[in-house]
Amino acid sequence: MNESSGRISARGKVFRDPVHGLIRIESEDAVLLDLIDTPEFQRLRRIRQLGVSCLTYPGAEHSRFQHSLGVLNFAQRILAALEHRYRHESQAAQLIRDHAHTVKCAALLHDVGHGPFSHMIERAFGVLSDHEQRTVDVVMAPDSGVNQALRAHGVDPEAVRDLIKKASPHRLLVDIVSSQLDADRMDYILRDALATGVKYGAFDSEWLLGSLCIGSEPQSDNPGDPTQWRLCLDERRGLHSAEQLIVARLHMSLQVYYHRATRGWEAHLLCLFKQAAELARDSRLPGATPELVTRFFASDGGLSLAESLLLDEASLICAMQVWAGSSAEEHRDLAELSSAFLYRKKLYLGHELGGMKSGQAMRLAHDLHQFGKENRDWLLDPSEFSSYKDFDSIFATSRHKEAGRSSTAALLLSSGTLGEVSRPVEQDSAIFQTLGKSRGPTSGRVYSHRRISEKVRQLLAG
Amino acid sequence: MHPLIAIAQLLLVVREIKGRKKLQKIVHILKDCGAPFHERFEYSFYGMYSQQIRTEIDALTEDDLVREDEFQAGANPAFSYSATPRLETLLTDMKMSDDPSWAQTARDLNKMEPQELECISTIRFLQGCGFKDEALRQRLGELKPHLKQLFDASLRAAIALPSFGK
Repeated sequence: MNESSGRISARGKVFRDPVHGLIRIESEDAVLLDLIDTPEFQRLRRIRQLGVSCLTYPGAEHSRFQHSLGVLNFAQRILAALEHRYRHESQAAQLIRDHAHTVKCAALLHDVGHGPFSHMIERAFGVLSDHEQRTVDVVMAPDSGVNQALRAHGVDPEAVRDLIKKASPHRLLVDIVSSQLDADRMDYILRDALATGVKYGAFDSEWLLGSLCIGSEPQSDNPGDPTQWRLCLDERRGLHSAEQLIVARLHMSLQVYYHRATRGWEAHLLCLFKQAAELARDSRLPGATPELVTRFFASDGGLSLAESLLLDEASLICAMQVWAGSSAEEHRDLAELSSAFLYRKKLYLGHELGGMKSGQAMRLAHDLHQFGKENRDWLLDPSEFSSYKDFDSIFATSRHKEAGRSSTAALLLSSGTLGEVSRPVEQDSAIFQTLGKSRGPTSGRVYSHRRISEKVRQLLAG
Repeated sequence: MHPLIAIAQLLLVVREIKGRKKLQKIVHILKDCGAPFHERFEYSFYGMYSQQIRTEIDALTEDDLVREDEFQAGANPAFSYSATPRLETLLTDMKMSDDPSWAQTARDLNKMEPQELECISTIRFLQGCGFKDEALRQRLGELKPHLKQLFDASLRAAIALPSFGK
């Protein structure tokens, strides 16, 4: 145990937070303070939650560090709400008490594997496409501060891993960290809305927390089995807060996560990363590029875990400043991309695909190659591609009646009586049913460098 | 490459996939082997599942590139998916109708029963989480008690799968 947990008083520790007000860590949860103090967690201060959204919404400067504390807070409150509700149900209460530390640690650590500008880094380099796996790598690495802190406090890293990867036999506990009602989603929607100033991201989190209950898996063959318990909303009081949450998520997706300008900057960054990687593989990056960044791009993102944890937004911004200043002909494109990003000069223009059908969209992607290289001169941004959790369509249509979808993608309602099966909220909600009938917000976009944008526009018009 | 290409090629390669579970598990296993499927999977009560596959198949069906047919599988209706001539024409025009490197593996997987595929897919997922040996067997038994008897054969099959481009 380190200095922090050694000094934690009987009253615990309190953090002020713009979303939650106060985030309290109790003295019996000293492991959380030690985790916060690890280099791996502190690094999250230097990674923005919304990456390049700050170029669209100047207020979007909040970090993954703040968000992770917020997720912890919601997870604590969910555990407390369930423990209170089921205080007379010994099996449920005991399950929650037995695993509370693990759930809190998983909630706190759920993003620790995220890299800088993760949405584009993950897309640019396949080896980084699974940030959950990177998080688990941190949790499991024997020489990581996180792993050592967990073991020092008797928390099994494998149990934390299982919650993050959803490999735990207790789906209820997984749901607290990652589900349609999870602590992660609840925090980032409120936090992102507050930081960006988008008012439509508001929802009644207090009522929602008070409406949480346990129900069994919708198609459960043994609803009394605790391993088939799921986190649900009380059917008598939770429906409207579910509807509000989903509408908030929809608005945030459309206005923030899939904002045209933001996605344009993400496209810009992806093209920049690809260009840097191409030069790095041939050892042709400017000589003043930080060594770590050179190795990162030369290996297509394949740094060791320890090295990758040194990479933050500042590292990449520093590299861009070096690149922007290079006058060598071989660095012309790199310099242009870097300078344009640093000084917010738009190079990539977005073209909406409207209601383009899938066959036409596939043919378009093929035809665009005549104008230049993919992920260099142009880039597809289909709406279904997103590292953001919320952009997958979550509205069920009649075509979507399948068990797997109900289990993973639906908000679940239940009576709250242990042993009763839950059901997707769509069955009870006119709003969900109506939203489910719509095709979806958009078919996606193409972003192209302005030097070929007129040709792309003509191709789309023809 | 458009993200729908891989799943379109899959249906062209195997001609028909009977059942949504088979489709989900085949794509997951191929992706885990390194085939260029972009769909995100998460572990669920029904094993590895991707919502994106659902919406992609809907989009391909709406555009008459994939045909969805209902058939009886025991007591419940089920759905099969097959490439239409229009899909074959599209991929041929785009010079993407040749067998990709993972085609034979896809055909081999398509010959398996859904439960075998579910077991292989779950084993691959758990191996990716770090489970091995007896811990792997035990966790599979906890998550999928109905698949316990398939574990040994599925483990052999999971280990024998090739690696594409990793």
